[in-house]
Amino acid sequence: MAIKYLLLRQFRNYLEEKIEWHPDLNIICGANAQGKSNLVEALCYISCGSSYREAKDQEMLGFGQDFFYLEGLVEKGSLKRTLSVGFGADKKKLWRLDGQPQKKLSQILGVWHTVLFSPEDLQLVKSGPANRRRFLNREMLQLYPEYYLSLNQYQQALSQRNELLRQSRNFGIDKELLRAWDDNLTTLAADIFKKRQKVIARLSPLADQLHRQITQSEETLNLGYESFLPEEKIAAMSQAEIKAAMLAELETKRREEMARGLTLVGPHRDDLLININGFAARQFGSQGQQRTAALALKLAEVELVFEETGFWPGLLLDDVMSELDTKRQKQVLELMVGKVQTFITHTNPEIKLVCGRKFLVESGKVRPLKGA
Amino acid sequence: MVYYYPESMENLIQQLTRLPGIGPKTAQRLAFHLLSTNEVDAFGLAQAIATVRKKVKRCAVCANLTDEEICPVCRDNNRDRQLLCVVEQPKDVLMMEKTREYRGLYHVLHGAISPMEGVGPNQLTVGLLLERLKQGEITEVVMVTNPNVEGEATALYLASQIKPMGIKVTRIAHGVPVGGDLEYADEATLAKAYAGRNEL
Repeated sequence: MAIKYLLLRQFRNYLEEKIEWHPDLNIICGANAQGKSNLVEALCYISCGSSYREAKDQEMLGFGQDFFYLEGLVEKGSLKRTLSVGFGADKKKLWRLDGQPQKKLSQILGVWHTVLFSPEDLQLVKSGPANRRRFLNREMLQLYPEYYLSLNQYQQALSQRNELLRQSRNFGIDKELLRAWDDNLTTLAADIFKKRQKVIARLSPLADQLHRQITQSEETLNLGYESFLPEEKIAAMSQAEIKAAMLAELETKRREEMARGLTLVGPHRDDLLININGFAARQFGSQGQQRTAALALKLAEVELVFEETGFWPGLLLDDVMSELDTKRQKQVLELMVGKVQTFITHTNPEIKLVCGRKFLVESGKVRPLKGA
Repeated sequence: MVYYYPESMENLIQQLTRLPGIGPKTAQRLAFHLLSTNEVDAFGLAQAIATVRKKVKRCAVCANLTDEEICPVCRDNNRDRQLLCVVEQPKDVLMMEKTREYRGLYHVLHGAISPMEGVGPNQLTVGLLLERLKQGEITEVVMVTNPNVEGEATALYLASQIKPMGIKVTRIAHGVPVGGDLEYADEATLAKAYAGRNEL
């Protein structure tokens, strides 16, 4: 799967640019603040319908402009699909697939999968559990759109239950009512536990293999799911059994939950464990190890998308190459280029090019550079 | 001096703006229409509002809207009086009636349990429902609350209250629309329908 061209109209600092991409490797060079990341943002937007920089649609309008428009041609084998999105100042967004208006974002997701790796992702291993949960959720949403509903319903039930706990601090507890919310919450939670555990179990061997290839060592990387139940139990138990276990756990935490007005058990408190040689990389890994583990995790995501969909996703590397040493840079390129269409931003236009195309970005203008 | 509408006109527009789904522009249009249409229609509307407010109240048995003490459904002896359907809103009763399949009685909760909106069992007609069930005529209660988080919690809560009375409690199934194509069902609904599959 590859994107053939991308057209940007009044998007951020681009007035009108059409870029013909190379099917293997694209290196986007340019000094700071010229629009390299804006280009990556546009690619990401047309792939997953939102900015990875968590910007609002409004913020992506060109300066003083009242609409933006992106269009891309995606090739999946012999199949060609035109994907476009326009956003106007009236805050209306229109997606089109092959010219046909699409009402639901879920029709767009997956037309062109991408995996993005940004400098923040390098912090994935070191940062707090919330970031790793976000990583997990985002990844699962791309692959399994129905996970969105489970997650949404769970969050709704969680807010309701927390509110009930808070109210009961002042007005006393209605045990029967709380039990109804427990029942509701645990059903939704069991579904999420199971789905997450399955994805992590598939991601783990992929990440391990890639990690060995990048480091060229015997260090093992393995991923786990940290929850109130051991991971093996989540894997072995049925949803009904997990639900029962969580109900029992809530029972033991009741007093503390009431005092704090918070739900203390559930997917919203869990973590993705990243172990190197059996030790938690978050606590015991060196900076270098942590970065490499994050990289392996992201590349594993690429492999997982392939396993699930049968197509290689696009790989967007925004500002991360300069964060890796030359040996790691080479490893990444060797692993990915040739099978995955890769996009890399780099400040140095002198960077060597083995294959593919190089572009120079200067204040919102993109031009291909000749030679390597 | 700048021109404004007469005070009574301003007042009407203000009142109309408070209605759901009505913005200032629509309110203005409606107000002008009421002013220019014939008197019978305009007063007819005013009269209709006054009457509905005076007459319509909740049925003493099922809490559905009625202009009598006890609604026609509750008085209907041709219905299955052992079967009770619990719904959130009066409009849900109409939906169930349209099925022509269900011939039992109803109970209207007038909402769903939602701590965030300050709605608990006491804000709903739960007390009335439990009193009604104690009389022992009803043998099955069907929960037809909305298939969202709040509707689900309401159904679960009521089930926990009703089951100890020895009454059967059921919940409507979730699934794909009948007569349509599978491709029009969204993934989540289809997943639910799959989970609740029946043996042939």
